[in-house]
Amino acid sequence: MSEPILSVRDLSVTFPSEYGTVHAVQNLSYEVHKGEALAIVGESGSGKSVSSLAVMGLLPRTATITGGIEMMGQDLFAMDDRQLSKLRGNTISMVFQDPLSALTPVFRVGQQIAEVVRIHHPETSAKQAEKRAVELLEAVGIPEPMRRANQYPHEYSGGMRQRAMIAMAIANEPELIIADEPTTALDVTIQAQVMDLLKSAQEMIGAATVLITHDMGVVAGFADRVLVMKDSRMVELGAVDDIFYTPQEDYTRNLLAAVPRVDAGESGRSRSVAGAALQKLAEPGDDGQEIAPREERPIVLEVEELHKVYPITKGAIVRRKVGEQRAVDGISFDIRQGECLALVGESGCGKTTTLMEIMQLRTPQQGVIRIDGTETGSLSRKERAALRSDVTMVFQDPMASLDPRMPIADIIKEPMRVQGYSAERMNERVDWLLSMVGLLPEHAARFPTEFSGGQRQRVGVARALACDPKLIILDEPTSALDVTVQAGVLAMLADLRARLGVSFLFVSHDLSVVRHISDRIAVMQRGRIVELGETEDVFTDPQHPYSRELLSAVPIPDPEVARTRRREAIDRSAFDGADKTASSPDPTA
Amino acid sequence: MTNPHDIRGTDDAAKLRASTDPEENPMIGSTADLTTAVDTALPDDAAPAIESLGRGELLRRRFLRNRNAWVGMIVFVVLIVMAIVGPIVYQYEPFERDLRNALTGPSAYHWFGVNENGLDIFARTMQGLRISLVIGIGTALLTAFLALVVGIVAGYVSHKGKWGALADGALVNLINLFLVVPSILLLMLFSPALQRASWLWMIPLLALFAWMLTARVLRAMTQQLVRTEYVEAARFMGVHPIITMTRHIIPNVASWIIIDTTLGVSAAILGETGLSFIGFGIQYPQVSLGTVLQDYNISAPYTWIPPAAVLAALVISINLMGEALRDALDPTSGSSRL
Repeated sequence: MSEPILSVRDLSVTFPSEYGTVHAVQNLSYEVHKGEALAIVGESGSGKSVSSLAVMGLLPRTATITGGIEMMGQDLFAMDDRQLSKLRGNTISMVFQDPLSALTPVFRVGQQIAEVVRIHHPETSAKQAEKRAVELLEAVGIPEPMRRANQYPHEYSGGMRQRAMIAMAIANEPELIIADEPTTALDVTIQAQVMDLLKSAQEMIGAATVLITHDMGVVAGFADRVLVMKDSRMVELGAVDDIFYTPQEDYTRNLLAAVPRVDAGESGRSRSVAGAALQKLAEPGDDGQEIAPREERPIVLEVEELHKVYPITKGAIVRRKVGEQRAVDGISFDIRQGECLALVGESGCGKTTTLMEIMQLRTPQQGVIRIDGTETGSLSRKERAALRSDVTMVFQDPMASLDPRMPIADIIKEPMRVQGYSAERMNERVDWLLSMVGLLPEHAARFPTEFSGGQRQRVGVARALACDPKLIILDEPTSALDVTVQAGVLAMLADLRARLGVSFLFVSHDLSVVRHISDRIAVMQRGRIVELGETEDVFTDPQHPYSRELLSAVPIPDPEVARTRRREAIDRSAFDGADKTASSPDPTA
Repeated sequence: MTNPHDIRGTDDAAKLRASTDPEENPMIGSTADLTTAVDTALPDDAAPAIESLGRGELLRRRFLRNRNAWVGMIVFVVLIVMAIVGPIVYQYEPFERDLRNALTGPSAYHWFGVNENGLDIFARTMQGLRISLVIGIGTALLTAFLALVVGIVAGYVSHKGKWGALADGALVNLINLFLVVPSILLLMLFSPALQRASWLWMIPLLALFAWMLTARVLRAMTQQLVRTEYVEAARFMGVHPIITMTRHIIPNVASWIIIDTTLGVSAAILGETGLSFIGFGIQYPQVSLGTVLQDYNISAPYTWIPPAAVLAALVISINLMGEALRDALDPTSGSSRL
């Protein structure tokens, strides 16, 4: 094998904190060779990001770093900041997690890419650099690159911003690309495109790549070797096929098992833990009760021809309507008692607007919403307040949905207080609710910051359950969580449904997440429901092309399958530039 | 990207393995006995000792680690003790004339000397310190209250439909109106008239022209908080808006209010002494640090250096404490590092 591009030896990073020294990375060693893709996989807090920031020399001053990092034979620790700056962007480049905050909002995208080119090649004229930026944008598959280069980052969608970031990363043909969770902020369909693009870009310029992620599914089609990290230490390092097919460590197996799978096949055969747990629950008769067929159960929520239209206005003084944005365009569905309906679609397809229309409990712009047979528009103020206990919500971000200044007990008591429960009953219920969601009653006095993301989401569920609701609306309850934590929360939700008989409206952009929990799936696109059917039917035989697209975008944690699925590729001729003759055939053709 | 300051919960994975691995934990998700399920799902106490520091304790530690905080606190406490004890033990009254010793320097009888009107400077400085402290603290508290009410109401209603936006607009225009009014002229106009009733009128008068900027900031902070999911959650639970404001919004802006109020004390003291110095603030039969300074004689430094030094020490000590408090509350500031 060739000389390693990057070799990290015995790297340890510690931070001082109020609670004593935090060991972020301990004794980490790895090497990346030319043209190789290494994936570092681990949960949040496992030290994967810190280790790559150390490579870039971007750790805060307070960090204590020991060990050695060598980049093409040069010791990075021996360099001063100026020498490092020369390296960054030229020899090492980075793709960040959040493409919105990684691009400067006040400069045009084209200028920002041109800047990267000019910093390291000062001899390039401004005009040439801008031309190069357009070529790069074209190479990463941005339509109308000339016009787009003159736009600001906020005019780009999330996926396009990440494409622009990749264009910037490959601008100087670096030896090493570090991609730090490049797709966690994106929808599944976009994620698939961006990962494919990154892979083909890496193959084209032959750079070594370090991909940092918490999702094993993403890794399968991308990496040559995988390094699994846990609690600041390395757990396992091996070739991608070895890690996926014959993992040596328990932890690796758990990580793999936690990935929700769309290809899991029929019940019982699922390798996924969450899937297995849910399948077991889904069998009726667990609690000795026979569940009535769907048609005989009462309807909990009924939405009929719901519309929500936002006017687009222009003019500062006299506002006139120039158009309209049809956020929700006539959707209808119903949820029976004890049923789970999954609403799946990309961001911007109107899922959240639909939820908000339901949660408002007011007359919608057009259409009818009935909860338990009562029309929401006809409610008096008092009735509406009472109905709030029947329909509750679990939010997407467990960090933001709990007031950081309130202890857990008060957070859970809040809805009960509104409904006028007695203090004694509230205390009883808090204990019961906490044990219901898998927390201990002793946790009641703690504050949300003392809990991890998964535990906070459990608190969020406990709060939603507080007043014995009939329907819980789950707005992407697991998308902010790590895969392993996600599996636990999903299992808990399925368990609650089986035990308490509540109905769920489960909103997600990821089909694989809802596979095991939902009875029926509604696929939503541009404000319309394009497909509504039994979960198994949608998975085995999707009718609408959009459903098929969603299904195929879900990453499959199986290297062989994943490799065959690559579609997106970088435009080589555009990258080489118009002045050079394109020697290799266009892979997209 | 992981923020290095947020690294926590690394033991979560172990717990999850216990709760998600079917081999280790056959009970997972089953409908069987609740207690066993819970016990196995969370084998250990969720947060180990490293998370057990309370917020107050953390704040206290960060505050006390700051050397400037100690200097400020000691100076401030010494000044308060002097203001309380000084006039009690000292033999001269602030308006007692000793014309025989007029314009003499510090001595065993007159600690800071006597000015040209035969008034003892130490007695006057201590009495002035009392008044200035009362006015400073009172004004800061009243300012914070006014700003809190206007700022939070404006910020909260601004999202509530057409009428809310209208009310918000009215309040913002009120703030802007007060910002453009020439406050110093109005203070000079009203102060002597109100002084006739009581010197305490100085407090509302100063507060009336000091709350606007704080209110604007609080309005912006509230607008941000209203959009957070926990406030939205409260709305979906049917919590009354006023309860939402007191339970969710005020505690989350409290740290900022505390800092602003602390720094507001020194601003109010400077405002009051300035007015008193030009003759429109505290007047006979009361005395403030500004009035003491008014009797300066440039050729006799002991007539103006002691009161000026006390004033400077007071303002600087409060600012030191305020800055230290801000550093302690702000996780991105230097003092969160060790």
